[in-house]
Amino acid sequence: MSEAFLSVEGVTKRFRSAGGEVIALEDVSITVEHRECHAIIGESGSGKSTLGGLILGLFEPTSGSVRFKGEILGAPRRPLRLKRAIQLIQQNPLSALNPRRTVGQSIRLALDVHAIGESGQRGKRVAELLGEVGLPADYALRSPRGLSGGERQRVAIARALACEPELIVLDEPTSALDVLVQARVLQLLMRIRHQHQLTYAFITHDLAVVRGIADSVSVFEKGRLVESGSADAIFATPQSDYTRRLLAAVPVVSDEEARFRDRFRAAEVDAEEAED
Amino acid sequence: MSPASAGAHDELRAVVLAVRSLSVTFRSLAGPVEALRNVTLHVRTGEKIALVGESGSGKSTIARLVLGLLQEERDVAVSGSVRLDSREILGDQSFIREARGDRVSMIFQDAASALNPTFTIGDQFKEVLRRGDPTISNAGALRRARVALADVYLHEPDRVLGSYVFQLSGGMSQRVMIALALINHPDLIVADEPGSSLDVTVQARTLHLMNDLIGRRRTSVLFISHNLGVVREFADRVYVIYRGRIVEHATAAQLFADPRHPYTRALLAAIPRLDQRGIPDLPETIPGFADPLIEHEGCEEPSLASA
Repeated sequence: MSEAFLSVEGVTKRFRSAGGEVIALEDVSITVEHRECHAIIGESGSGKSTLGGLILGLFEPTSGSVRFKGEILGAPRRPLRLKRAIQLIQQNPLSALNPRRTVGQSIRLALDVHAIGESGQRGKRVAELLGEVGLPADYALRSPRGLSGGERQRVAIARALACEPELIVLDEPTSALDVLVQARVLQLLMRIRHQHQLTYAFITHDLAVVRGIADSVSVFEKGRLVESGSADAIFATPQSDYTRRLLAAVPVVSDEEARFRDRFRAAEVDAEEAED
Repeated sequence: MSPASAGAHDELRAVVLAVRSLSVTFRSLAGPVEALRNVTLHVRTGEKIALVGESGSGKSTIARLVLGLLQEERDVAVSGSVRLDSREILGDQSFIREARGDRVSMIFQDAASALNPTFTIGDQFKEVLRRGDPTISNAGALRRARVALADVYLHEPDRVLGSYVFQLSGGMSQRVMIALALINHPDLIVADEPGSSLDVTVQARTLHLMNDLIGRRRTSVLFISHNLGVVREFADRVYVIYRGRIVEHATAAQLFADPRHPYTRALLAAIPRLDQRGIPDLPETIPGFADPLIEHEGCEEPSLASA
C-alpha cells in the first residue's frame, strides 16, 4: 500500500483555557505528497499554527492522528530521528536562535546533537551551509543580534538544512521581512527545496506568496478545513466563500491582478451582507 | 485655517503640509547616519498622499518630524523646512505641540499599543475633544464620541466607551483610533502603516472605512506604508523613498502603470502576485546608489575571503 508522505487524519485539538475549552482544530484531514510545497492558509485563530505544532510534536492531538511516511507522530518522547527529519523555520528567527551563541555555534549544535558527519569536519560543514544560504563563512563568528532580519532567516535555514531534513514546517517565514528581502528569501527556499528534495508545510496568511510558491493548498477558518486541493485549482475556482473572501481582500499592484482579484469581489459582498 | 478650495485643479488647492529640502542626520557612536537627504514633498487639502518605502528608508522619520515627535537635540541635525498650514514647525515646536490631536492627528499601525491602556476609551475621547474645545462638558464629549463611534460602525458605543483597549479586538481598536483621529476635524492625518498588523479581511474593511470617512470630510492624509498594494487602493499621489531620498513622485495611476525609477520597478517586481507563479529575480544594484539593492542580506555567491 502506498502511503502519503504526511497525512493528518481526523485531527481534533482542544486546548483548555481560563474561559473553558477552545477548539483549535476540528476533524481536520489533509495529505501532503513528497517534495510538495503545501500551503496552510488562514487568518488569526484559524488553527494553522496549531496544525504546525502537531506536525512538529509540540503537543498531541486530542483525537485523530498525524502520520509521517506511515508512522504516527506523537508528541512526548518523539525519537531524535523524527526530530531531525522534521524541522521548523519560524517567523522571528531571533527567538529561534540563542543570542548567546554565535551563528556558527548554533548551526554546529544541530550537527552535534544529531551526530551528523565526523566531529572534525563539522566546522567545515558549517561554512558550507552558510555558503549554501548565501552568507559569507565569517558569519559563523557573529552574533544573531547583529544581523538583519533576512540574514537571520538565512541562518535559521542553514541550521534546518544542517539536520538534512525531509520535511520543513515554515511558519510565516517571510512575514516580518521587507518585500525585496522576502523575494530573495523565498527564492532561496525554493532553490534548496529543489536541490534537497524537501517537502514544505508552509503556513502563511499571504495568498500572493502562496500563489508564487505553493503546489497545493489547505484553507483554514476557525479551526475547520474549508478547502484543500492543488494551488492551480484553488486560485482558478475556489470552492468556499471564505477562500473567495480572502482572495477578494488582497491588496493588488496591477490592473491585471486587480481583474483577477475582482472576480471574487461579488461573492464577497454577498457573503458580508449575509453575515450582517 | 485651511480654506477648502472649490477649485477643480489640484494646483488651486491650499497646501496643508509642505516639506522642503529636508535633511536629517543622526549622530551615533559609529559616526553620522544620514536618515533623509533633501526631501521635498507636499500635501494639499483633501489629498491622500502616500510615502512608500521599506524599513530604514526614512519614511517614519518624516512622520515623526511632521508630528513634532522628533526632538531636535544635539544628536540630530535637521535642515530644511516643514510647514504645516503655512507655519514653520522646525525650530519651534510650540505650534505643533498645540496642533497635535487637533489640527494634526495620527493613526498608527498598532492601535492596541497607541491607545492608552490605563484610561477607558471614553476618557481618551474626552481628552482629545478638550484639545479642540477646552470648554466641552463631559456629557457633550461623550455625545460626540458616540456619534464618532457610530461613524466607524461600532454599534455598542456605551460598551466601547466604558472599555479599556485590552477589552477590544484588534479591528475594534483600529476603528476607535480612526474615530479619535477624525473627531476634531484635523487638517492633516498622518497614518503610519494603518491596519498592517490586522488580518487581511479586517485590514481591507478598516482601510475602506477610513478611506470613506476621510474622503467625505476631505481631510488630507499623509499615508506612510511599505505595502504598495494598499497604497494603490488608497492614494492619489505617491512619493517613493529609498535610503532617505525621494526617488520617484507620481500620481498613483502613473506610478503603478508606468514606474520610472529602477528602485520602484524592483519594489513592484518583488511583490508576490495573485495571478503569477514563481518569484521574480531582482537587480543587484540600483543606478545612482553605490551599495547593493539589499544591504546586509548576503548574496548568492558569497566570497569566502571577506573579512
